[in-house]
Amino acid sequence: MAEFIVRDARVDDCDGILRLIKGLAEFEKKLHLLRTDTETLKRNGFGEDKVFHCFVAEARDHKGTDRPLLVGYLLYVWCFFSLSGRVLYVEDLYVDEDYRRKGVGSALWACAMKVALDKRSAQMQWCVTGWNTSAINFYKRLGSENLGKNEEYISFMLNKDSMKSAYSRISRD
Amino acid sequence: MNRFPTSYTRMADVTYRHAEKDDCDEIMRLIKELAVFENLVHQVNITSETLKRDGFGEEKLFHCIVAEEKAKSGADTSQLIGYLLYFWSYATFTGRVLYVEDLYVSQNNRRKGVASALWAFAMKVAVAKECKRMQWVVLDWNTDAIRFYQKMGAVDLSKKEGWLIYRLNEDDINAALTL
Repeated sequence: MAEFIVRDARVDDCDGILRLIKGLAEFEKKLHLLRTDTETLKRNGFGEDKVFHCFVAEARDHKGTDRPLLVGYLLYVWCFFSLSGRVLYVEDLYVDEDYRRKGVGSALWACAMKVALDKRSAQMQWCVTGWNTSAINFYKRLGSENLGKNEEYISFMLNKDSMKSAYSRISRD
Repeated sequence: MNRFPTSYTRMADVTYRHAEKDDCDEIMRLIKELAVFENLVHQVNITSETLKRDGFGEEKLFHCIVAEEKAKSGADTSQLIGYLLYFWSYATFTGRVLYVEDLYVSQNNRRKGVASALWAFAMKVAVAKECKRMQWVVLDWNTDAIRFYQKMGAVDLSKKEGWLIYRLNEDDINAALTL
């Protein structure tokens, strides 16, 4: 059995998500740019006027406090590209260091692809920092198209066909 | 010092407002004109129905501000001469972002302050929602647009496939609006 489950985030996950956001900021060497807090996450992800959506990975059999232990998250927004229509834009994907190479990233990505397909998105799109080779390899294995490259960020895209194909592969694993 | 251009003469017979569902056919017409301008006509994959569903249905994926020229006589109907289409995005380290997807003014109505007025409308929406940023892209050969953005104090962020990405942070929006 996998050591984790993936699910939709809930409003009381926001403390845990903030901890993971800090982990991502440290990983990207951008901790000095972090200017958010739990209240901002609650308002923008779970309020009436919410702007982002989130999947979380939770450790199974966590012996500790009653609160779930979150070990990864994927945060996305819906975009509208006037040429193509609805697009799922992945803003963040992050897995705690102790839980890497266990399929957490793939499981979170599969959640995002499923909702993108269910909502008939034309595309998924996201960026990755140019030095993050393990992430880049993950995206290439999914069949993502590199939209172009600047010095710092690489922009990737999965269209409808490559999403379906990647989803059926990942959800079998 | 960079300043948001306010010394233009507003066209007296143009109104700026939030788009309504009935505007979708006209907005689609302008989207196609923009696609021609950008040499991307082959990439237009949406219709007026897409706009109605995704902009005016239960789940609104985008919002739109339009510039409408009043009818000159009883026989004419008013028509849209420009639009700004945006959606809400999120920068995890910072907060809410207003992402401008399209800004377009029809050819005969350029250099009359229409784009500036549409942009000012969007900035007010951004401030009202306590946005931390506005962000958008522009094609690197679109020198008129690039000049427009530079004058308002926007920052060039990166370059990919010939697109430039610009940003106004919260301070810049407030500063531009006080001019």
